Amino acid sequence: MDLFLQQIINGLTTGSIYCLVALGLTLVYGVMHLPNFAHGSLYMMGAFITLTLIKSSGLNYWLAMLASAVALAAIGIAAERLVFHPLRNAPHANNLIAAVGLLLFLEGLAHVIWGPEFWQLPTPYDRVVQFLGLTITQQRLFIVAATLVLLAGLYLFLKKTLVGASIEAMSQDRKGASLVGIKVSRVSMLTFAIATGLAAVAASLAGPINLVYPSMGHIVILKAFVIIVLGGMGSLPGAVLGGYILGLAESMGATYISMAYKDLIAFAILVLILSLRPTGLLSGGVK
Amino acid sequence: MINRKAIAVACVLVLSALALVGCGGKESGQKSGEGQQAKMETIYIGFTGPTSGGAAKYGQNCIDGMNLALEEINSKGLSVGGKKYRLEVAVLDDRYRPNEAATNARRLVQQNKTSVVFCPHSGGINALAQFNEKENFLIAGYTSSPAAEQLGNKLLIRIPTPFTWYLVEGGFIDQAMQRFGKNAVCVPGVHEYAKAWTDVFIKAWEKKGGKILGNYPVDYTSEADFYTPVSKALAGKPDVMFIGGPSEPTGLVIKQARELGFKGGFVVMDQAKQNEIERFLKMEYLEGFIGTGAVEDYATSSDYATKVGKTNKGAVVFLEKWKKRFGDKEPTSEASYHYMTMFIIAKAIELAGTYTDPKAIYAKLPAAIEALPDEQMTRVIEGISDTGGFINVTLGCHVKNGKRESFTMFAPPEYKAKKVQPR
Repeated sequence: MDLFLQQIINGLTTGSIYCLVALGLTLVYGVMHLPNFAHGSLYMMGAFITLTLIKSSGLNYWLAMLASAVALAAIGIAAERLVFHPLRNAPHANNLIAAVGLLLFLEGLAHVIWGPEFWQLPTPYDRVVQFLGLTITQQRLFIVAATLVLLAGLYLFLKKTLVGASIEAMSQDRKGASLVGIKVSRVSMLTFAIATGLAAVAASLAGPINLVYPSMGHIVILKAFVIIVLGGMGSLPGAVLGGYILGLAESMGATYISMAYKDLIAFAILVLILSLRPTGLLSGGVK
Repeated sequence: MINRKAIAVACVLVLSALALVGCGGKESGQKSGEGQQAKMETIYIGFTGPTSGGAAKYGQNCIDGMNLALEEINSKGLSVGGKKYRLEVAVLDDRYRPNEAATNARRLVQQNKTSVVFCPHSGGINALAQFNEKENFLIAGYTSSPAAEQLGNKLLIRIPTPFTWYLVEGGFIDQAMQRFGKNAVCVPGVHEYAKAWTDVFIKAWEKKGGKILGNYPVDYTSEADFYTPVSKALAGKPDVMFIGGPSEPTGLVIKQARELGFKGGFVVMDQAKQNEIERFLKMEYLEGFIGTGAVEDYATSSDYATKVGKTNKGAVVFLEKWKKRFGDKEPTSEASYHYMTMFIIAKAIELAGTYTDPKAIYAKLPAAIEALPDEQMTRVIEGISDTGGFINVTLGCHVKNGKRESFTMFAPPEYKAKKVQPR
């Protein structure tokens, strides 16, 4: 029973990280119809920027995370302006290639600046908390809690503010949105900023329980793509649901079926769900 | 709808393409070494290993070790058949791939006329061993996989301690069993090397009356979080955990096991180094760490050497020279071994009186090792066996009461019996 609860918590922690990354990915996909392969590299950049800020200037963990989110939002906007905006009328393949190009560029950049080594993000919340026979570090509690807060914030932003509504409108109908006077390029920039900002927060949260290195985005982006296909491409609730399903499936599968087939189990679930619901669990976003 | 399907297909295609491409590398035909002795003719020593991508640092460490030795050798010049030569390392990048290592070795032999090729990974060594006897070059193989020697190759040197020797009398298992108990659980990496190590460990542990509670391999380099496998491994209440992969992820496994309440000891594969983990982990987490010794340990302790009638002078000299040349850069085992092996090869060339006949050079290796002065012997070796393996004296590291303690492991007696006497 203890093991079961422990693995639920482990699944929720990983699920939370998956969630935040997948949200950004699905947001960009919903608004711009762009599968942003570079999202994992942006996630990696977020972790490195937080690391650098903490190491070099001794900044508080949360402030460093915030600064990194802002920096990443700026990088996101720059990427949208310099890479994807000029390609808005080009064939779709060009966008895909540009995204891969961005991925390789960012990874190469990280190699040059920070080198190929593994780093660990220091956290002031390394203490272990025990309750009900379960073991969890404060950092992991923060990951779960911070994700919930961010999800609530994002929900309110999209539903209750005009700017948020314009993002939703664009993801529902791009042409219609521009017809009623929504500025397409401004919304695109904003979407990119939010998505990359979320990635930076996710990376900064995950950094202390994991390692920071230039190719750290690879696994995360692969999982995030699985999640958004699972949840329905472009669907925000789908990304959240998919993130937690994948996180829990991995930890439960590893415990009760087989450690070696952990990823296989996760992908088998994907296949199963897609064969029952080919458009994903909740395919509300994109029509 | 169609559009979305097309995108999904494209996603899959691109992702798989990315997986194939991996980390791009460069072809580097760089030649390193000092050029001040332009008058002397040059003998090239080949090296094929990773100099780009994730393992670039590892490859560079090997090259740095070799070049450090060459600085000393070239300052006097090497006399071969009454003529003075300088040595130079010819480097080709193989990105850790066996097939590229094979191509590189052929290029090195044909273009640089080298009769010795260094290769620091078992896949490459296996590939080269398929044709090196026919194409006439000597492999200096840096791999602790014992399989290399079983190929029956007559022109192959195995440099570092084979991992099976860590489990000899007084080695990792005895240390762990005496202090912590008989129940062990394995959470090793999934790579080939870890699999072989784990098999050997499990057999040896059970042979000494221990119990294996479970074996849960995880991918050390692509796992987002180790809590899941570690929670499961700890559910059986083990006394000892067997782990191992690259140093940093191994440190992460240790950290998470401690967070989850594990109080026992760790038996750690030689791939992970205690000094590299210590840099980012609290020492109290490392209590009970049993693994391979660091380069520094060979310089700070000396009884491992005196026991076989040598001194630790080589390790001390190497550390000093390394610090002077590379500053804060961590000296690694691969650098220290390549440094020493370079001296041995140079000596063997000198004794053989030829640099073009690998068989003659190989035959002089026992004599070269015998003649090697202590200050060049960074690792104490007692000779070379008839299968081309160095007979190494190895240090282990056991963290007790927050301090690293060294313990010595000798080659198994039946292996020592295979020592070739110098002619």
